[in-house]
Amino acid sequence: MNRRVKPLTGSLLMTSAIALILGACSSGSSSSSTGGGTASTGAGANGGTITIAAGTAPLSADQGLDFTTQGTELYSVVNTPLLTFKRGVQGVGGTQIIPALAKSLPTVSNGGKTYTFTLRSGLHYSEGQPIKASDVPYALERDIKIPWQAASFVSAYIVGGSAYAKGTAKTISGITADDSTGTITVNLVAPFAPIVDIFALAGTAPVPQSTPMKNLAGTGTVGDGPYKWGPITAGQSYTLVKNTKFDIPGLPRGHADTIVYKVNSNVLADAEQVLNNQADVFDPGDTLPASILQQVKTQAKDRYAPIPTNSTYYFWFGLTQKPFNNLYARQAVLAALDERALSRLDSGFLAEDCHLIPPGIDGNSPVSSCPYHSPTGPPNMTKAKQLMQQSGMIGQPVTVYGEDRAPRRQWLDYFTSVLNSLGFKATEKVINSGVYFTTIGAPTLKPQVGWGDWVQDFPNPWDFMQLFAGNAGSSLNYGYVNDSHYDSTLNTLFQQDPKSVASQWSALDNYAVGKAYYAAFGHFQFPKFYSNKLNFGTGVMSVEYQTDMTSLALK
Amino acid sequence: MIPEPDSGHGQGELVAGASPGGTAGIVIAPGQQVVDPWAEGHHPPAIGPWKLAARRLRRNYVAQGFLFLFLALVVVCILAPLYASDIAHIGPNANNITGTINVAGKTVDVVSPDGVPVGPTFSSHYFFGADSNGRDLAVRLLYGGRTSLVIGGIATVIIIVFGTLVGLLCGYFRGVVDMILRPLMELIWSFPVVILGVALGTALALGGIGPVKGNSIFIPAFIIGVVFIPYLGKPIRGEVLRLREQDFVEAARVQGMGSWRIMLSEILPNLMSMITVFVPMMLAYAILLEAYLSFLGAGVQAPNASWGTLISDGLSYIQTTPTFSLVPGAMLVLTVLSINVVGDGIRDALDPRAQVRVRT
Repeated sequence: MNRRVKPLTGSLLMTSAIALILGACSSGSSSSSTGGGTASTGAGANGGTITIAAGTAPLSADQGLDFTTQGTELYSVVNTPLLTFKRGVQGVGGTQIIPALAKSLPTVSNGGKTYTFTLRSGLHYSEGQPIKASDVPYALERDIKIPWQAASFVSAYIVGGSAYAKGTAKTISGITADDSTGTITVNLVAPFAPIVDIFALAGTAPVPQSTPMKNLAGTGTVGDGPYKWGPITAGQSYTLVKNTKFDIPGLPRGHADTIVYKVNSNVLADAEQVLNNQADVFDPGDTLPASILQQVKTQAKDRYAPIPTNSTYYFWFGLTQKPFNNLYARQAVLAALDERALSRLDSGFLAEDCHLIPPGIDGNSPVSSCPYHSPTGPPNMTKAKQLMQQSGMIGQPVTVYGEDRAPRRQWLDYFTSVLNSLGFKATEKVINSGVYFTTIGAPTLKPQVGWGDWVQDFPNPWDFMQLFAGNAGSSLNYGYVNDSHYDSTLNTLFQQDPKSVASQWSALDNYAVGKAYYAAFGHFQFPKFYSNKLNFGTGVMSVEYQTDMTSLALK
Repeated sequence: MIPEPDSGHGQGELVAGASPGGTAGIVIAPGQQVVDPWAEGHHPPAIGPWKLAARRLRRNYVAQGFLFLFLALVVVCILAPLYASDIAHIGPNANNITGTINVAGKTVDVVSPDGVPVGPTFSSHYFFGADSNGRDLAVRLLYGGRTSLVIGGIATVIIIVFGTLVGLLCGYFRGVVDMILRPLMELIWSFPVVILGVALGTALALGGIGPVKGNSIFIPAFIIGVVFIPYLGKPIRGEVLRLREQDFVEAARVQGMGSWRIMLSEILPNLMSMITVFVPMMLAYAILLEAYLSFLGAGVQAPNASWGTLISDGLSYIQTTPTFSLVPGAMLVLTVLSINVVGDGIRDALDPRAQVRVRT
């Protein structure tokens, strides 16, 4: 799985109305290529042990710290929050937000600044303690203290959050809880509808107030979901055991008694284990190596499927310094980039494109509109060399940032060779996957150029285009793009139904491609690859959770 | 006492059998007339320890064979640019992912659309096949060999220079100097070399050292050199502790020679045979450790190749195209094996107790 902070930041700036409507509309709201809300089929057998072979470990089993996709797969079935994204549905239907611990979706008052939740009655943690309303503010305070990788979601938008983060307040004053009525009231600094998304994240799930305010990487926290933590060897294996006490109407209880998430960085060995039925699930965040892909396609064709996902891979340019503060230099790179090569490095899992908005999202442009060359054809080196001459940047030193794991390192090698073929003096800076995005997003670094990716939070073009907004911050807008036309268009389109302004989203994407703010090169597919012991039809590749643990079932 | 014109350093005379130039190991062939070396007017030819060692080495045909193999590997690696430009027609880091080549009359992708690189063609282009980035593995193998050998060579120089210096200082001065430097050596010694190397390599690969960038080959060379300094420094120290009590050192002190001069002109020459034995050993260790580190991603940084990185890159294809890993592995084994055998030959040649027939 992408060893990066899960890209939910984008959802925070969306209106809850859009999120809820899109979620509720499921496939009807979008021409999504992700299947548009395919419900899982088949009941699947209950019981047994399922083993997941993963190439990358989460940062922590503690949802109060971790915000990686690997971690989310696991603790999202341990820590159930007030709201949740719908499980058991493949495609955009899985973005629908439904009540979980809360009786219903929150009531909104005070001009969009107050959200009120009411807990269901009779809820208990997996260890038997009753869940109290006051456990929710305690969990949020714990998120800030540890801190959660997405702690700013809480500290920046809830009244008193920043004071608590600075240590000048003992509690978050903007969140109050009444244990007798089960009411939780959240007061926001300003109207901020995506707070609904935040309360659907496992990081905001309540924890017993006896839980220490420190990272429990080796044990995880006591939770309230369909599974609870079993033995954990941090970085190596994580065991989920079924919580037999879990019973919340409308939420799946899971099939397997035990799910073991085994980490082995040798992805080829992981794939071989699944192929030979020694492990049951190939973790979808890892790319199936090309050396075994054909074998998988032929020997396991009934238990393998590439699942399209709304995602985009791209290279970004640092616009505040040489050489990529020069338009021609950036355009030269786009002209010289061979998307077909990048797809081959990803075992052919990429659909080549120069646009940021993927095909499953309103506003996607046809590849024929790519200005420098067709992404499915060869690069235009003649044009690229002309642009380089115009730029005057030949011979400029460039440091290219990228991750260390396949195929990201191979992409980095390729991209560096393209830059060198254009006349730059490019060298690589390979960063460990676990710290890559925090490294390049550090405000003090201001890197020259590097690789990035984005997986949808919800099917809206804004989720992708906001990456290059002037106010996105260095943790998203790594190249410090700052274009007033881009920003104003973004802010205008954001308030409208994406379907009605799809052509304008498309125009904005093409405008940015013309300015070469990014060199998008394709959209990814997740490999859904199981052993023959699992019910392939039951298993769901969720948009929000990737492998939906509650859907995994033995035959 | 035999006059020893070649020794000339410190001792002035060489006691037979007490040094590499001694005659204790001489075997008289059957039927050979025994000549009394002490007879009036007879002066046996003077043979220095190095000349004697060279003679012994010349008679070690196994060592000579492996020396030839090692030199051949070095020459082949030195000629890598020639191979790349005139035969393979592609550089070591040039990506050719969407290119095609002609194999047995058929046009094939260098890398297939689903990412599988072409295997060995055993022709001028892609002799050993391509990697996932469409780079010619034969070219990278030769360039990787250059990298491995250069890093091994630089690391060995670091080990020899600083290991000898530290050993000399500790052994000669003892006291405070020894109290400071010896624990440092013990500290490095106490870490497993691979773990220490990986830790240093990972840390320095990011920021580099001063003006040296993190992706420079001087970083792994420096790391390997540092972690192996105690492996030479400690035995040198022990030998210096012994030598400093010898009469010839005492005589030098009495004559008023300074400490540095005694170390350099009296003690160091007597360490040379020991150092000479250590050179091939350290070179072999350094090349192996470089391969370990690069295999683990803490040595040579992408896109540059070394045998370690090539073995690592080839692992993904170990079942379908094992040559990707086996060929650089074989080159590594042959290189280290040849260095070790040559090193053993040098040690035997310098060993005064070696039973090697030598015509005097």
